[in-house]
Amino acid sequence: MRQFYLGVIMMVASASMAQTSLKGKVTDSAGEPLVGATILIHELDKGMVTDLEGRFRFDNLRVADYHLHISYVGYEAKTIAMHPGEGDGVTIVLEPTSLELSEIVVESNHYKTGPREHTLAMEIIDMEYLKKNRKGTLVNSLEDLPGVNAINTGVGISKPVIRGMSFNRVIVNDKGVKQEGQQWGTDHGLEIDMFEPGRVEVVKGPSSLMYGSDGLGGVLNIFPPSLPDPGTHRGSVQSIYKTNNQSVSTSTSLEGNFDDKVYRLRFSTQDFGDYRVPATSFNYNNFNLPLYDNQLKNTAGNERNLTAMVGLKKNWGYSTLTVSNFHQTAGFFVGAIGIPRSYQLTPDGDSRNIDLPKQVINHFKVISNSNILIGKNWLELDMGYQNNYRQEQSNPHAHGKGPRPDGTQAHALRLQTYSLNARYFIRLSDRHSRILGVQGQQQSNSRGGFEFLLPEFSSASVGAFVFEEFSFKKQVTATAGVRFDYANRSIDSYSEPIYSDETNIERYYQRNGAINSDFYNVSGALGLSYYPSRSFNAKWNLGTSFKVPTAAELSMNGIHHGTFRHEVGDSTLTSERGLQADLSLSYQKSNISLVVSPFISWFDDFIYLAPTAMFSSSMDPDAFSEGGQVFKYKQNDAFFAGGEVAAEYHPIEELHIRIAYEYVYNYNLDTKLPLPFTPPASIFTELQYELESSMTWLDGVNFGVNFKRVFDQNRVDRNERTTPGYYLIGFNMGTQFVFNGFKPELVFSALNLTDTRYFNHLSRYRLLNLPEQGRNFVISVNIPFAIK
Amino acid sequence: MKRSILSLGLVSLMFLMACEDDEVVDVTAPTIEMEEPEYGEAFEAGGDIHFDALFEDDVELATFNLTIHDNFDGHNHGRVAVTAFDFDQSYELTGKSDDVHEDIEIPADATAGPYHLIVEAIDAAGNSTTFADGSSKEIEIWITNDEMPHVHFEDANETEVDEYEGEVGVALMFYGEVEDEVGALDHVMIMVGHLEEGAEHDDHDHGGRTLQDDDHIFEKEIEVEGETSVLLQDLLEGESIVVAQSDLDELEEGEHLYLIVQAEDEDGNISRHAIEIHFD
Repeated sequence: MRQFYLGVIMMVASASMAQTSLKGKVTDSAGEPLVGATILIHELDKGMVTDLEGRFRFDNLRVADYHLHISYVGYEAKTIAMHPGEGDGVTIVLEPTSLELSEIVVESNHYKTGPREHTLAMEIIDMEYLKKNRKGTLVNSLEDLPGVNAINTGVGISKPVIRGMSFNRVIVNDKGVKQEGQQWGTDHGLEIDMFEPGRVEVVKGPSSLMYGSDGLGGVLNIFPPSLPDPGTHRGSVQSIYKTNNQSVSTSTSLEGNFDDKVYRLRFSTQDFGDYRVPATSFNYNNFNLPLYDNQLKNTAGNERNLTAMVGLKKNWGYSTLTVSNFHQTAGFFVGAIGIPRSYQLTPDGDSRNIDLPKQVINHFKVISNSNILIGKNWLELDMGYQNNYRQEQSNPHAHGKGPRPDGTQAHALRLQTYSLNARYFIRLSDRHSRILGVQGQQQSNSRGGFEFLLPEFSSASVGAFVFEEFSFKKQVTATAGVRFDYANRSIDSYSEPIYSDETNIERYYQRNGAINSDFYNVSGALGLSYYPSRSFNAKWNLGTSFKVPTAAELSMNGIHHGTFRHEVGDSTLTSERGLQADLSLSYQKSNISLVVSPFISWFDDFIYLAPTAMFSSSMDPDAFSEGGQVFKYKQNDAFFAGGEVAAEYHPIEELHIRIAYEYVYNYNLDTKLPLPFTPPASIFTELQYELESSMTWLDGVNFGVNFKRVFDQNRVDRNERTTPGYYLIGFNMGTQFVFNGFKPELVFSALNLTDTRYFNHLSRYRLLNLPEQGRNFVISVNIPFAIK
Repeated sequence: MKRSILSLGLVSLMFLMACEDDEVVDVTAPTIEMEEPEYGEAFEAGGDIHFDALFEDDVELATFNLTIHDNFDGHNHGRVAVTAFDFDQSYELTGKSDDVHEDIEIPADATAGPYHLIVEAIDAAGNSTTFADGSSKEIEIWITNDEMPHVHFEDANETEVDEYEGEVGVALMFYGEVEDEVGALDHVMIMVGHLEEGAEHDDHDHGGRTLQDDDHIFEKEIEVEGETSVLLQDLLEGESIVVAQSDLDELEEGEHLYLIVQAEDEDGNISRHAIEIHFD
């Protein structure tokens, strides 16, 4: 390792110290200069705006290859490659668009080229979209995007689903580091502060080539907001109030730049009470159980999240260090563990307290991101340490002959993860570039609590890849890559004492044996993007993906309250492998856009939970309290297909119409049945009207209505119930005020405006016949401020 | 390019048709018809519970599971540690229809009180009954023992009665004794309401049933820690229990109003005694 660092330092030092500059001009298609367009050098994370003549100039640059992101309101964002000293600079011509999403810069970690050249289908959203769609969790803010869904447990816990795949089949990268926090659990949400992301990219399709294991459904890449220019210090206070569960969220941020030494601080809070549903009772276990005051008792929760970042920008690159802590306490509906009883449901007089059962999650992260010039090429280095501590608390079941456990700590899982991702970008010629990548991860899991589900384990993985990109005649980009991976899972055995009375141990029951398994995988991908004209783009991608069996799949043996099942792992499972083909066809004019993205995937050895004809008591009569049907992890072939259609149209400048349709079909060749937790087909329609204001104190007003039609889900797995479709109507209104350069924003929105009673097929509480959250009015205020 | 899109679509369509073969997959769960025990039935510690249920499946039955555990959580306030009777066992089933009879021994030292008896079944394909749709069955049974509190219902003249006479709109008077012969009492709950019984209960449509805790006309809980005998009239002193005509109208046909006395002793034994209140 030391030699490696030494090598890096020497290479940096030996790079020619020659200084150069990058300059150019930004104009519209008529040749008129665009004043105030944003130019960002990707490799240095340095930006500036064009002057009155549309010119920009970066000085004191090292001789290297750079990528510039150019964006301007009302124009399509662009990315171009530039090499310093190229004559008198370039002239960049931006084309007008009224499609907001085209205005957003695409800045994915790996692809330094623009959106057309990408070969994978992608959805990109920015801060504006996130601000308008705050729903309590980051994942819920994304669920109206085509191909994206959320698996929810109440209102504070949600996990992402991409193209019908979830849990360990999607990857979430926060600042380039894969988020690790017991993703296998249905009621284990994504531990990300919803206020923190500045931009989110949803990559759909096989992503193992770049990201390794688990890149089957797709990837959520979360990026921090961009930083201010030198000498600028600013901040903002945001606050959101929701009527349904009297939720109050706040987020305060402060950021600045002292001569390219940057910092950012954010503190966010969320406090919410029990949420309301449009029902006064629900049916379960042949009982009609009351929901007093329409509230789901004990679904209150809170969050306290802190992020601090410091960084340095130089002409050799940049480096940032981010430390963050996510802390969430969330109650579970009182009937969510075991069978709900009427006496548990009577109100305790406080709809904001968090009683048992509950979960307390702490996710601590240290992430370092660097981009370093080595020779003429760039090395991107992301390193991370994560400490995920998950406590699940409930009353112990009075069961068995042994001593009654002390306290209420049912599970305490601590997952620690060290990650390292390095990518070296080599430009071989104008038309050919290469990425060499190395990825490593080391993980250890320890456990505590009176219940047993997942044993202690450690796991390690290393992967290396090479990715090539060629472009031809400025209308075709071809990509190809191969990757090799090694992973090891080392799992401790666990035996549980069986008592003959209060103090004496009669025998031991082994929940799982020791496992030490190695996994090797080779993956590859081929992609093609064809863009013969400005309006048409076809992307095609064929890739393999894989998932190393999780420790849960290999070793679990216990009652998983998240699914009401006794789940039993299989130590002989092999890696799950997919062959996936994607197509994305898009047609775009300045006021119209149509994107059709079908996909088809085949999986070998797809791991799924198969029901058996056994109960917990069949395995051992004394080892499991309140057991149930035993489900065993098995693997066989599976097939997925589906796609998204998204259209956007602006009949007049002020009016935006957006329609998105999504569908996922899957089939388990073993059971000849669909796979569980498959999102139903849906259509999302949005109408947005923007009014310019002539008043000096008002920047503008926008109104929107949205309409979501979710179809019946009748394709279900064995022992999974069908879910009827529903309609949801929403409304929003946003304004921005201007008082002496001070620009507060106010957004008012209504969710489930008609208070419709419906079931969400992907909701944890669907299993209890509980409908989803009812009408909810949301008021959100954002007060940005600048410090002189 | 267009041709390749078309061919990809065609290939996937053919694939879909190829793998969705015509084989009928069994996704129907078994059904359970409980005959015995009945809802609310009481059993003596040291004796047997006779279990009788009919299991049916459209293809092939496989397993059923019988669980009996206490339902004390709602009432004992977690104060007393008891060794409740606990039973969890699975049994094999065969054929499309299986009428099962089992005798389950109750240990002589079982704590008295309400218990849940739960029956679930799985067929050979792995289809299982669930609580969500009510196809798994759960009933409440009571276990009695010699050490649990006893209640004697009496009239004003200390004569034991087996029914109270009540008058609409007039305060009801109850007399009697709650006693614990072994150890001492802990608390007593006195309720006036209708009582769920097996016979009444079966006629209700499924899903409409409410817990016995709900909708009592009168409900009072009294701490009597350390006492070995208390009088009902003392516990109800100062209370005015009035039944209105509307309360009687709410009863379904065949339902009656009861005085229900539930007593728990310091050893955790819970007993429930009910006596009908008769209105003309």
